[in-house]
Amino acid sequence: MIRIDALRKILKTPDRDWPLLSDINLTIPTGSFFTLLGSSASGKTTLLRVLAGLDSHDAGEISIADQLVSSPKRGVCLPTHQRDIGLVFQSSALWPTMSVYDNIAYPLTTGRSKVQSKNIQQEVLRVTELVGLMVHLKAAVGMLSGEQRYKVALARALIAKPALLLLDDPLGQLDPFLREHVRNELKNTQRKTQTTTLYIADDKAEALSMSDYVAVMNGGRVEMTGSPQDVYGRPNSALVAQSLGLCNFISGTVKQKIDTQHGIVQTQWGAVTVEMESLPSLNKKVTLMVRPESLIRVDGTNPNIPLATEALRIRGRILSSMYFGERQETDVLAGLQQIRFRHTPFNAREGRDITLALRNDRCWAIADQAP
Amino acid sequence: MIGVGRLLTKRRDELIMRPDETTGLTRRVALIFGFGLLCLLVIVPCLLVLIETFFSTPRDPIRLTLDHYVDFFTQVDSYLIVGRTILFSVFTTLVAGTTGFLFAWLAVRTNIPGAKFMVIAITLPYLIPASFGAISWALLMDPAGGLIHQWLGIVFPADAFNIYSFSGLVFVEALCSFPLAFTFFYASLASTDPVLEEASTAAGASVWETFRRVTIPRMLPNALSILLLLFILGLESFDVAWFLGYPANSKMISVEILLLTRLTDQPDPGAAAIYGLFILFVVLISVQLYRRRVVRDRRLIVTKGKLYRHLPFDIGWLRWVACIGFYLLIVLGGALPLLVILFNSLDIPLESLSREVSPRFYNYQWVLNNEESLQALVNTVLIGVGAATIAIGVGCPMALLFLKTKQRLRQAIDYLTFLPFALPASLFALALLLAFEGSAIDGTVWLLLIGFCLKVVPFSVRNIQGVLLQIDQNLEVASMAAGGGAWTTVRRIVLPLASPGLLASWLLLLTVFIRQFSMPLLLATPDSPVMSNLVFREWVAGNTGHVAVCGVVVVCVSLPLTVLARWLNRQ
Repeated sequence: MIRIDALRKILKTPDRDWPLLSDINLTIPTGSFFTLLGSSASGKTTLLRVLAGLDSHDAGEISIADQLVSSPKRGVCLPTHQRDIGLVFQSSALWPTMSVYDNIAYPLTTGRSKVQSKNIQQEVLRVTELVGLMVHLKAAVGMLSGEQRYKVALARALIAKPALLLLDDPLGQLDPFLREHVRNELKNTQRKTQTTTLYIADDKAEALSMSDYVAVMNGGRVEMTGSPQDVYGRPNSALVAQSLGLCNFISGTVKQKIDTQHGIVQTQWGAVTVEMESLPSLNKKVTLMVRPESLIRVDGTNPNIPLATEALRIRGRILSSMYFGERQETDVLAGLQQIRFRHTPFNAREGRDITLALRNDRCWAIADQAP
Repeated sequence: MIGVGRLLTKRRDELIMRPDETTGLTRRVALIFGFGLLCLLVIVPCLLVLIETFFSTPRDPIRLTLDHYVDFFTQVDSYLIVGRTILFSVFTTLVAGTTGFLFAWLAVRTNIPGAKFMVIAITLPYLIPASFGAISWALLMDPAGGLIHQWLGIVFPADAFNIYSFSGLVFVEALCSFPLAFTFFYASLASTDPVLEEASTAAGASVWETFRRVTIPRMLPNALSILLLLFILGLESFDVAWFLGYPANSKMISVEILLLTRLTDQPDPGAAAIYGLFILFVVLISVQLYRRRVVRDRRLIVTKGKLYRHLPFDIGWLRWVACIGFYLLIVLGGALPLLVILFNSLDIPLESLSREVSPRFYNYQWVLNNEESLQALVNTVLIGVGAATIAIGVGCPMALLFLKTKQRLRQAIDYLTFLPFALPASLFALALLLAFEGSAIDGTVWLLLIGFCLKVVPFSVRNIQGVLLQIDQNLEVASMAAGGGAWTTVRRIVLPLASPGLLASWLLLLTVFIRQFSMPLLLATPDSPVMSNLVFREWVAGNTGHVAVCGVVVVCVSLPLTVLARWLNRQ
C-alpha cells in the first residue's frame, strides 16, 4: 500500500510563497491502478516527482509498501535509487549508448535490485514477453519505433518487480490509434503483474478506462478520489465534473425530501428526482449535473423510449451540431441556457425546435455551485 | 493557482532539484572545494596582478607605492597605447562581427549558392593561427617585394595600402577573427526558429526589410555576446600587434606587457600589471553591460522547436555577389596565408610562380635535425596533451557538481567561468610570472602547463556544462529510479553519453594550445622551448623559412584535430 499523508510543497519566491501541493492525502491500495487526472500545472507531475524522490516536499509523509520513504518532520528522505519504484517517462528516456537488452537489464545490474548475472537473461526474457516486446534484444534503441521504445521503458521499469510503478503519461508520444491499442495492453500487463501503479494522465478516456481509482487534481489539491464510475457519475464539484467531460449544469430548488440523499428538485423545465451526498433543506438551491449522453430527444421521433422522469422537458432550438461518426453532439438553446446533448447521428438542422428529457430515473446534484 | 504554470517554467531549475543534491555533507564539501578551486583559478590571478601594481620595481628596494599609477596616468605613451588598443579592438569587432553576421545570415537564411559548403570552407582560415596570418600578410604586403603589394602597385599609388598602418592591422586581425564570428553567428542563426522572419515576409516585408526589422533585433542578445567576445579577443590580441604593429611602432597593451616583463634588462612587472588591470577593468565593464542588456533582451530569442525545412529567402542576383565575396574572404584569410607559409617552407618565392622553381626541403631538415626545434615540438605536444587532459579531468567533476547547484550559486559559477574568456592570456601569464618568480618551476615547462591549465579549466568547465546540458535529464533520473546511485549513474549513463562531447572538448583545448602564441611567449624560456618561442626567435632572426615550417606543422596538426572535434560535436 502507498500512503501519502498531509503532503505539502511550497515554492518560495521573493514575492510570496506558492503552494504547489496542498494537503495531499492519498491511499493507493496494493495492486491497484491509480490515476492522477488534471489539467497542466495542476500538480500531478510534481506529486509523482515527490513520490519518486526527484523533488522534495515541505511537510507530510510518504510510505511505499509500508516503508516510510520521506518525512521532513522525521528527517527521512530516501534517495530515488533506494526507493522501491519503477518509472516510465513520456519520452521513454532510453539510454542510447546501450542496447535494448542492456536497457532492460540495467535495474538488475545495479543498486537495490542487483541479481546474479546468470539470472538476468531469463528475467529480461520474462519481462519482454510480459510487455509483448517483439524486437531483437541486441538492437540499438535508436532503431525502435515509438511503441517499441515505450515497451522497452515499461519492461525496464517492471523487471525489478517494484512496489510502485510510476507512469508519467507514457503514452503521450504515441499516435491516437496506437495509443488506444497500447492502453489495453498496459492495463492487461498491470492486471497480470498486480503491480501498484500510479498513472499520470491528462486524457480522461485513459483515466476512466484503465483505472481502479482516479484522483482529480486542480491547483495542487486533490479535488476528489474514487472509482472511475464515482468520479464521472457522482462528482463532488462542477470542476471535477468538467475535468471528466462535458457537463450541463441546471439550477433548481429542493421541493421535497425523500431521505437525506434523495429528493425532488424543481427546475425551470420541470421537476426531477435527484441524488446528492447530502440533500440540503427545502427551498435551497442545488445544481443538477447532466451529462450530454444523459439527455434524450422526445419530440416525436422516438416516442417509444421509456422515460423515467415525465416532468422534465427541456424545450429549445438547435444552435449547432458536430458530427463524430458514431455519435453527434448538438448544442441547444433552451431559454437563456445552452445545453449540449450527445446522440446517435440524425439530421440536427440548425434552428429546428427540439425537446429533450432525462434518460435515467434520477440525476446527480451538488449544492448550488456556479460552474 | 494562476501563474504557477509560468512559475514552474521560470523556476524549473529549482524544481528539478533532487533532495539528495542539496543535502549531504560529502556533496557540500565537494561543492565548496570545487567552487573554491574555481575562485582560485579565476580570482587569484586577478588579485596577484592588482597587488603587483602597488609594489616598487624589482631594481628598487621592495616597498608599497603608487608610482606605477602615477606613471601610467601622467605619461602620454600609456594613453596612446590604451587608446590604440581599444580603437583597434572596436574596429576589428565591427568589421569581423558585421561581416561574420552578414555571411552567416546569407548562409542560413538565403539561397546563396553552396550554403552548406560555406561551413566547411570556413575551416580553412580557421586553421591558420593569427600569428601565421600576420606573418603571411607581412610577407604578402611587404613594401620591398611582397606579392600583393606588387599587384596593387600596378593600379594604385605605391603607398596606398600599408599593412603596417592602423587600418592594415585592423584588416589582418578582422580576417583572423572572421571565421570565429561566422561560426558563432551561423550556429546561433541555425538554432533559432525562422518563424518570425517568415511571419514578416508573409506580412509583406521584403527580404532586406525582414533582415533589418526582425532578424537583427531578435539576434541582438546573441550578437552582443559574440561581439563582446570579439572585442575581448581584440583587446588581448598579441599576434597581429607584435608582427605588424610593433615594427611600425604601433604598440598595443599585450605587446607592452611582453616588453615590460620579458624583453627588457630591467623588468617592470608593476607597470605591466597596470596594463593588465586596465584590460580587466574594461572587460568587466563590458561583460556587465552585456549581461544587463542580454537579460533584458532574452525574450527576443525563439529557439527552434519542431525541426522543419526552411525555404530560403531569394536574394536574386545578389547571391552570386555574396558568394564571390565570401570565397574572396576565404582566399584572403585562409588560402593565401596557407600558400605563403607552404611556399616559404619549400623556399619557393611566390612572385616566381610563373617560372619553374623546384622546392627545397632544407627548412624541414632544419626542424628535424635541430635539437631545440624538436624539443619545442615535443614540449608543445606534451604540454597541450597534459593541459587538455587535466582541464577535462578537473573540469568534468566540477561541471557535474555545479549543474546540480542552486540557482544563485549557479549564477556566480556562470560568471566565474565566463571571466577566463574575458581575461587576456597575457594577464594570466603575468600573474604566474609574479607568483612563481624565483621558484623551482620558474622557467620550466611546468609553469607553462600550470598557466595553460589556469586559463582553460574554467573554459573546460563551461564547455563540459554545455555538453552535459544536452543530455536529457530524464536519462539520469531513469537510472536513479532503476536503482542506480549517483556514481553508477555518472559512470554508466552520463559519461558514455557525454564522451563524444568530452573528447571534442579535449581536442579543442589541444588545438587552442597549439595555436596559442602570447602566453607561451611570456612563460617559456630557452630552457623550456615551445613552438611559439621558436617562431618568435626565428622571425626576429629573419629565418622566414623556419617560421614557415613551424606554420605548416601547426596547420598539419590542427587540421585532423579540428575536423575530428567538429565531427564528434555533430554526433
